Amino acid sequence: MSDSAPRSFTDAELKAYLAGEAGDDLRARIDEALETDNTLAMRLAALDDLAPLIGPAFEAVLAQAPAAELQWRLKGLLTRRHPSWWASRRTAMAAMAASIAAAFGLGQYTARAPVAPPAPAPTPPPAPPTTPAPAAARPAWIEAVAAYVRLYSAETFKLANLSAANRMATLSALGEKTGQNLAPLATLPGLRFQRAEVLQLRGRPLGQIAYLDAQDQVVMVCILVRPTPPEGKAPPAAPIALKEETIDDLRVVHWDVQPLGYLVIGRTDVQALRGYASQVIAALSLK
Amino acid sequence: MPSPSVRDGLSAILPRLWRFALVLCGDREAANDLVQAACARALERENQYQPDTRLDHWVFAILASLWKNQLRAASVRRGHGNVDAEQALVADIVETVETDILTRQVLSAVGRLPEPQRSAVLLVYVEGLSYKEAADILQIPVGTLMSRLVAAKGALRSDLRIGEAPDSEKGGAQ
Repeated sequence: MSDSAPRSFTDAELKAYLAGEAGDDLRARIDEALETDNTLAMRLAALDDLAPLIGPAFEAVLAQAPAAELQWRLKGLLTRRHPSWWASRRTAMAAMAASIAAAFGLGQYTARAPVAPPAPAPTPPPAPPTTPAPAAARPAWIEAVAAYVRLYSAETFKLANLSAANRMATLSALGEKTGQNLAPLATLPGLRFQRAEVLQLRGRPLGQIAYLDAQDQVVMVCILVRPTPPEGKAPPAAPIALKEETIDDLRVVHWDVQPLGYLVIGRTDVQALRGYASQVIAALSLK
Repeated sequence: MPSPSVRDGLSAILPRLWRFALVLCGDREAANDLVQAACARALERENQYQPDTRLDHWVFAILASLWKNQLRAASVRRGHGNVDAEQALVADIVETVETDILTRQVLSAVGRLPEPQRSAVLLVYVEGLSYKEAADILQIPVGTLMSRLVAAKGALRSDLRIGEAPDSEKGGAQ
């Protein structure tokens, strides 16, 4: 509240102000008074009749907030806070900007290639050119995958002791979610297929196919099903471009063939992951 | 010593932060990222938070500042973003929540407003902040906030046909 006596305004003047019909002088005086006069602000608010209409409508928006996703992200912030992590916050902020840039249509889309019959490659085909991706461009879903992949070990699968039929059935179910025949991914050279799982991220299917390599290191192939771009909004097809990430002790190679996002992740060296990525691309006839 | 109230209090305000972020950026995934960035910044600066003040207002201001700085610096705003915001606000709601036609009309109308007006509308009419509090969060003078609200009200009244006679009355002389 201002120490000076507040200038009084009539209800008619305030209504004119709210309706945008006040003259320049009156508007300037009310603007100035509002900086300090809480009583005037309350009078104006009482005369403002749109709040009862707008407020309830936005309750529906509140109900749509992805509560679990947000809590998960917050938990990640709270548990990962240490000096080295804070040192990377600048790039994380840039990542947020990049994500929003993509959301506003500035990201790259590629058309999804039709699924061809399975054709496992006897030898790993040459890897597509790999672009080392700056951390700023790291998609959020890769962070989500990395957060739980690090919890797996060879023992996880040995204890689960799933039958081959069970594993193939789950892989088939996952293929229904992604719209692909994923059976060729059960026999990738150099990897032993352990388990397929259908997960969910932000309400979208997230497939996870787990393997052990020759050293019993966990390697996972993940597929995220994104919304299909609206008719006419999908940019023309572009060659597959592999990107690399390092998240703590995990290496990631990822690529997009819209609307699907793919990644291969593990603690093995990135060169091996690039090879596995090439096998996945060949096995699924991605282009 | 950092106050524990920031980390304790963030969880409860996440949905409201997300709604504010959605109104600002008009994209649901980008809203997730914006909320995460705001929480990260709040935790980073938790020693600057004064426990006797409103945590939600403090984090709202951080979020608004991030949006303003990051996006404008990156120059990624596309036009006014109105179509995106309208779609984002109404998306999914029709499928998952029992809403009446008026709710959808209101959300669509607010979504069609320019972003500065949308954020003013949300903070004042939805969050119930005072004009001064909303202006502080958006880092603008109260007069600027009021100008945005007045403009928004005019557009909403026109869009929602508030104050107009019902169609049935318009043709009453026939």
